[in-house]
Amino acid sequence: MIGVIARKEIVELSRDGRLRVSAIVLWLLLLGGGLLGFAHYLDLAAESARAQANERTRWLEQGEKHPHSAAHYGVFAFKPPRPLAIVDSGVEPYVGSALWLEAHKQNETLYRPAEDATALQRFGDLSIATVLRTLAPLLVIMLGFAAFAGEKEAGTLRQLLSLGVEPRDLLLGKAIGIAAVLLVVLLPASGLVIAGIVWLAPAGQALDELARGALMALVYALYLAGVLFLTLAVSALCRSSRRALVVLLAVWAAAVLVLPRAVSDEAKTLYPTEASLVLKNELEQHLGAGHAPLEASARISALLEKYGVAKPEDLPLDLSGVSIQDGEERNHPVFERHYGAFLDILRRQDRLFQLATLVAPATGVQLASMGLAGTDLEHHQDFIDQGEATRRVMQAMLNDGILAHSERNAEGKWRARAGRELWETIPGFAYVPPAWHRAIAPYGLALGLLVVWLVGTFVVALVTAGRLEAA
Amino acid sequence: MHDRTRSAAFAVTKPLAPLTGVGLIGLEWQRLRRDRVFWIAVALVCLALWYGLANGAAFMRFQEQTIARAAAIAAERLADAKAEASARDAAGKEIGTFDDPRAAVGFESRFLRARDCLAPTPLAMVAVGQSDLLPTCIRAGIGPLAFFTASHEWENPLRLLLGRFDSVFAIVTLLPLLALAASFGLLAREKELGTLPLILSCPVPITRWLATAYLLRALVFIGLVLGALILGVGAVGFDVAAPGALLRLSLYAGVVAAYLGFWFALAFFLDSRGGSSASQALGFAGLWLVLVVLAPAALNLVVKSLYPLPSRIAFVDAVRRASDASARGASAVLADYFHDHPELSRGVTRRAEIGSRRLVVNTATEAAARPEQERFRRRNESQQVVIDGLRFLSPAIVFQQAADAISGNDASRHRSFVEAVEAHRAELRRFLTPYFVSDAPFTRFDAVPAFAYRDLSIRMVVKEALLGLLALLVPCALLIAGGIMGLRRPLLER
Repeated sequence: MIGVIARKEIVELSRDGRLRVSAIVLWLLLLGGGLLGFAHYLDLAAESARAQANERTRWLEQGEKHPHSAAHYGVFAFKPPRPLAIVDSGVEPYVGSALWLEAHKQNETLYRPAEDATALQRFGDLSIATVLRTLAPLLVIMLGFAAFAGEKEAGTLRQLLSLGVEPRDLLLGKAIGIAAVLLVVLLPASGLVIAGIVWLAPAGQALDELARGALMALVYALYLAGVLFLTLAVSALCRSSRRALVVLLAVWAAAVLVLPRAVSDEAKTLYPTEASLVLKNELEQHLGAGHAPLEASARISALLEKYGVAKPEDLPLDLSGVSIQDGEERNHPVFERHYGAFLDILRRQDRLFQLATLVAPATGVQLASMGLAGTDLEHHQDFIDQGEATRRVMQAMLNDGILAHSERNAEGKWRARAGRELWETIPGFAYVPPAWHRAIAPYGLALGLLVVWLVGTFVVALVTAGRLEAA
Repeated sequence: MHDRTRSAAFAVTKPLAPLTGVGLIGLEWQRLRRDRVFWIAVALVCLALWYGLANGAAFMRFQEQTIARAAAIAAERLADAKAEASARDAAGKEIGTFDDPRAAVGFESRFLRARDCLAPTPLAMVAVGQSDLLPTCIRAGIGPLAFFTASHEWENPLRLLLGRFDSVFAIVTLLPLLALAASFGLLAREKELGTLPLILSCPVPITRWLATAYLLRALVFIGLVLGALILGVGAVGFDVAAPGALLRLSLYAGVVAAYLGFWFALAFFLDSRGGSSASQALGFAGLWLVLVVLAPAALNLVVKSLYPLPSRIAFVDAVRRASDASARGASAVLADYFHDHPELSRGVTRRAEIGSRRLVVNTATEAAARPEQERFRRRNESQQVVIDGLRFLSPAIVFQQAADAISGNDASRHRSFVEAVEAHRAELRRFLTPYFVSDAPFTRFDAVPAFAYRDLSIRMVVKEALLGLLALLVPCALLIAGGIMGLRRPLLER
């Protein structure tokens, strides 16, 4: 019986001209979004690789100089784009992708693309993820709003029920029929996108990208299934298809347009952040001098012991390397504390956003989708952390280089000069993205609530369909 | 049940007597008073508008506090510089150039923490616009390498992606839907309820009746929205006495009224074409989706495809290359510089050499990077030209642009602010250069040039708002005319 109902639903929906037009529009949007994202990815990947290679060449060819001058010269780390950013560009337009790694400072990322964009950017991009999150639910609503209400208006529902058709079978049959039509629209697009992304994935990351893409498809499937059951529940509850449509459009507007922004604003109210210039000023006040005093240095004691001398000035080394490295290490926890405290607030804000999944599932889906695409706050932070780790290694090696290359000049003053042989030992920056399971881990709450919401909509649909008997 | 009651009220309370214009309005008012959906929509509109204004005002306060904190920090650091200079003078001890406020290089890099800030306009609370994305305050200074110093506000990027729930969002996105709920299918619903023949039997032309019904709903709805807007703006701290404040508020109210008028005119037009109320609702929702969601996003895609911005990664790469070349050639440039300014070359010490070198490298890098920066600016302007030409395709874009301009949170005001910051940077450079290139102690802490921003002329704001008004009223008038023409066709044809 379920199969018969599903087939009937498919035939009916496929005859609806408006739905055919809507499906074609959705397809074109998915295709357009995919193609533009694809072209943007290729440009960005090539530019990022070229700039990183140029940076390495400049570093190696900077000539002979004091290692600390090289430390101030620094290097730029560029964030390579992720293939799944074609589907969901996430927060990438709102964070920079260039990070300057230099002595004494943990810098911020520079040049957020959205700052260069026009105000139209604030209406949002038509990425594949946006289409799936905001417009695909509208297609589901159009497919399903009249599923029960239309039968009521036509008087066919009473006939069906009087023939002994179980309301549960009716619900499942209609759900399967609508889902089949939806799959015809979405499956080819998803297949194309996933194949393209696996093809684009850097060597050794294809499987990881495949896992991320498959999980992303699953998340959207759960979301749209929930929307479908909600649509059927409302259709079963309402006496007319017009009322069902108005109610569903209102729910869509509230859940997709209003709540995400409102939750975002409430998150800021609940977990406010201080102005960045105040935070920067505090950080500056807490940072110690770049060159720490030698008196308290544990490194000096070790050197004194190693060289068997009593006083630092008797050491046959340029001790500025020790002083600078001590200064660097003294400042590491200061950076960690200040940036960490700010990041902690952002994570609390995002957690509230995850909690909102229960009433506005688009919020949780958005977070999980960005996480899997590698375009969320956590991936950006991971890039910053890897950049900072590289900076620390680089500074430590350069400061060791001061000790290793030091010699006294004619005036008896310590000088250190190093060249390409030292620069080559400093590792270049190469970003390694986290594995898919680490990418999704921060969004366990959102995914859990998405499943709860899906089960909830299914149960509500079952209950409302069950009550149809009495209608 | 509810619709039936209203129609019955129309048919029964006022039978087939001739109706004057006032009488018709009175009757429609009675119907409107009993329309629960209309009043629920109005209540939701007020809530959304007030919530949006509260959010906008919170951000405006944040900006004002930021500017106050920036001034306090600058003053503190200046006091520190003076105290440190006095202490060093008293101790008579030399310290590193970069820690010494008496060296211009040290003062500029360690103590000069002045920030050039863009104050919000009196009506900034209505639209956050681009102000959450673009910096409110930019550090004043002449180096090192402004290109590699971020000035933007630290914010959760997810919040920037989603945008704020300000009054512009409420008006652009939600109010049309609520206006739809309050007005759609007035004629179609009468037809569906079977009460249309009763109305037609009254001695009132259908065009006049429907026009009165829509006009009354539109006027009441828009009037209440404007009332809620003025009340809300007043409640969140609108400064009436501020220069241009009332003019801005009047312009905003005008644009809001025109925008809502467009959507009521659209509902009237669709109703005049016939069709069931459900199909009209679908049609209205579809047009809303196209005009508010799809058209702006599609135009954004078109603009980005026609005039793609150069890559910032490539920009950083280019600036880095330029900086490298400047540093390598600094000695030669420095020699040239002292050749051109022999008065500055006498008695150059190591401290002055550091300052000179820094100045020369920064100046040369800036000069080399300027064409790259100009490419961004030109592309951005080209994009804006396309948007200005095509914005009439979507009332949402027209409204957003006008609202951003009226609130002072638009990109062009920010651009003029950045130009002022660049002028201040040049002024600072002129002021500090003699101290950078010589060993003369820096003591003129109180003479550091201050930032002065001359705001855009209010005439530009008025022009932008009037253009927006025109762009909304013309399609509004066309829809009304189309609706009236549609109603002239016999009912059976519709």
